Amino acid sequence: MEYLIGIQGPDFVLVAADTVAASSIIQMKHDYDKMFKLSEKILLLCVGEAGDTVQFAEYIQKNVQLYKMRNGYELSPAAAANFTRKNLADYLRSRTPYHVNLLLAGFDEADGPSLYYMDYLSALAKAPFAAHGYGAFLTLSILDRYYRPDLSRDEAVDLLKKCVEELNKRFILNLKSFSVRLIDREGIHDLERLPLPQQ
Amino acid sequence: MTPHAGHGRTKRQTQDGVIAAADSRASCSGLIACPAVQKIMPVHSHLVVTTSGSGADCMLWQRILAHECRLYHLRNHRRLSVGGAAKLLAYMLHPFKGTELCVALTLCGWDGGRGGASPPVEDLWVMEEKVTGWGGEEGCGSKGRKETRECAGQACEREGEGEAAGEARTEADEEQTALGQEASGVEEELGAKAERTESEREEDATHSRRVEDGGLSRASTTESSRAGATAAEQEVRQEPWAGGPRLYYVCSDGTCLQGELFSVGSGSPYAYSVLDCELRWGLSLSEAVSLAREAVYRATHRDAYSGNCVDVFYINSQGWRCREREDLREEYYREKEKRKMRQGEQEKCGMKHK
Repeated sequence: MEYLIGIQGPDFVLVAADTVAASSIIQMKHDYDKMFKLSEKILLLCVGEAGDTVQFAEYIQKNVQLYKMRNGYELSPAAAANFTRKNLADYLRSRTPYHVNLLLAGFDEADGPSLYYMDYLSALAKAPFAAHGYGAFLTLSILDRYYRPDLSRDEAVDLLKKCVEELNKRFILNLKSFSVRLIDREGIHDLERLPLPQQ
Repeated sequence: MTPHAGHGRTKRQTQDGVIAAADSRASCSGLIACPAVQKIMPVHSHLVVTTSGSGADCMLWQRILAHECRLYHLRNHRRLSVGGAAKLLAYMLHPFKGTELCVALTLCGWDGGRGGASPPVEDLWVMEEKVTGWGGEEGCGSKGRKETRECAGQACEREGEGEAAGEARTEADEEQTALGQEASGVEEELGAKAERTESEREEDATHSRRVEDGGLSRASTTESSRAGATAAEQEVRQEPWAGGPRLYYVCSDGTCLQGELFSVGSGSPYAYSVLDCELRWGLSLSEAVSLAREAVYRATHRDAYSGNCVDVFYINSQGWRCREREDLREEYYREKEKRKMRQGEQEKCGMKHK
């Protein structure tokens, strides 16, 4: 039902998420933001069971902020991803596992851009592009076909638009709008929501 | 035998307040356990909670929420904001996830005002927007607070209204101070004709002590607002933030959503469809109330677990007030009569054409 996608370029990461908050068959909110800002250059995109998503993501968010307060510098994306994975894994075999699927996207001064895919069983993988949700079945092969490691920002946005068009065409659910953000050396930038308003 | 009360409930946020409407039926596996239940309950003077789900759970959690809000009020000398109450409730319900607890509450309230919370400090996104200057100046200008973060948070909520206030500059009363201007300007521009009594206007005027140079609207040039901001910084920060309406949906499965329209319960799809057809900004208070009532009526008509009476509550900066409980059976018969009359007229027209 929910959809996340991330595309890593040579010096940026582009991420998008749908903006629907649903409760069984009803769309309760059309402009719900599924991205959580962990730090100036790290975003956590979180979908999954209602309640678990916000609880877990905010828990990670606050802990990353706490690290910064205690130590004076921010966690790198790799460290944040592994911290998240450890927490998810610890809760997995407890009485209260968190059923969340995550994409963690970040930019590190030393290592450059990075995109991490994590699922509810706390499997972590660094990937050049990734997607979550039923929509991933339809769009991963588009990414396989057209992705290049040296994509420019415009090309990455075009690739994202291709994926969204495919969803609009073939996906049984109507995912009307997507929030799009780009992380690069300067930080996190809001891009225009997809689909673009018709003129 | 768990009484699973399915209800139709609608809540809507307007510019000047929040309207909550609910039916009054409690059912228990096919039997109407009680036809006159109170589903909208006040938590404090500016917060009302509508309940849906299991009756006992709702009653308990409403009490727990009221208890926690009261403690917060006593400890901090101001009311807990609606967002804060929603978050508190969501975190209190989280340990019960996966159990048979079933509550779906909407918190309808007014933030800020006298005795209320300060503007939301809000989260990391807002700091970003402050840096890019989006909405920050306007917020600073009127709120008179040093921390631009908080202003930007306020400006975020009122992003649409800020531009409207600028356009309404010429219509605004010159005597009114910045805050009063913002409120009335917004109203006139956006066409909300909700009853703003004279006493409300005066209260807003007394709240905002700072008068901008030349009595300009707060959305005028950035220079004047910046000058106003620095002047305000020097003032004692005592003027309360006028606040705004807030609506949150909290569910026992952990969902906590902020929005402008929610419909909850077994009859909610029927209510949603009526509301989505008719709802728009610029409704007057009476139009909005009658729309809420209509939505509940349609839900009670179609849904077996909703029915009997409708309660309507209205929460604005003055607090909450409610309408008298209305039996929807009367509405059903009235509509039936209207249909009959319309049918009779149509037949007459038909016969004339023949």
